Amino acid sequence: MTAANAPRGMRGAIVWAFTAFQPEAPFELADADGISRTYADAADVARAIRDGELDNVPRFHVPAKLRPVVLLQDRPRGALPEYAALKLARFTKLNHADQERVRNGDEAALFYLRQDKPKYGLRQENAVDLNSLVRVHRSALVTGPVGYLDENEIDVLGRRLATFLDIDLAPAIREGVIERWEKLVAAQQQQQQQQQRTP
Amino acid sequence: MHTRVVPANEVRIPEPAAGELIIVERYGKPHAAVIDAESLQLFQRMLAMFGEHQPVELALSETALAVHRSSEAGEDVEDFDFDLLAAHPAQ
Repeated sequence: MTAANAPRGMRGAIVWAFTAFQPEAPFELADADGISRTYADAADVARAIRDGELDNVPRFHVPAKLRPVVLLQDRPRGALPEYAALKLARFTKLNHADQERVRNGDEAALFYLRQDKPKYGLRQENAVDLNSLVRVHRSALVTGPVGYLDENEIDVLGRRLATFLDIDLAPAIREGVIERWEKLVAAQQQQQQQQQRTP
Repeated sequence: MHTRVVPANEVRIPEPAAGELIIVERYGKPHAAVIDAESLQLFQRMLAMFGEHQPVELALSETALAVHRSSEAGEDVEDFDFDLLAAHPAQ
């Protein structure tokens, strides 16, 4: 079965996938001969490329974690092999009061998923970390959907994600409100003018 | 605005009535203010609509940061159930 003919598609699907950690300094890379080398910072890596010590597309050694993620997009054509996704996290290390804040939805950056195996396909409660946007190649998906967020949850997640990506929707909303207001005023004025003309 | 949540039992504040703004003065000048939860929501909505756009990182709570950090380190993540390989194979 492909993503295209999956019963519900992949938008809002919870899947298990390998997500690579972000490369961080000091960087460990394999040189042109496959020998592991460490570089103090990104500029050192660039210099090593310039000097022919590393390939133009160097190989960073980064670990990857098998974890649940929620996919934010569908790929019905299969033309784009990567999915935008958000990582799911546990929050067992928080104190009780903070755990309750997550469960009560008081932490906007953490979208709470209660323990609901039939719906989410997970054994424990989790939270979607709105600050964990990642791209996952379809070949890195370990499972198909084990559960789904519903349409309302996907909608809320999308709106919050815009906020956490610092996408300012307020100007567009303001423009829409002003445009609508101006149309209403114009229509009202036109109506009044017509009434005045009518004997 | 940067938001810091403090449990109520760790501070002593006067109980704000709905719609009431309590200004705490120091040396005769406003030092801090206390508003009720409903007014705070209104303030935050207005700030979002009309205030200058601020990087959201400024408003991240310590709770959100703690979960993010442990998650990014792969430390507090549900364990994979290998039965899923057969039950829900990748498509």
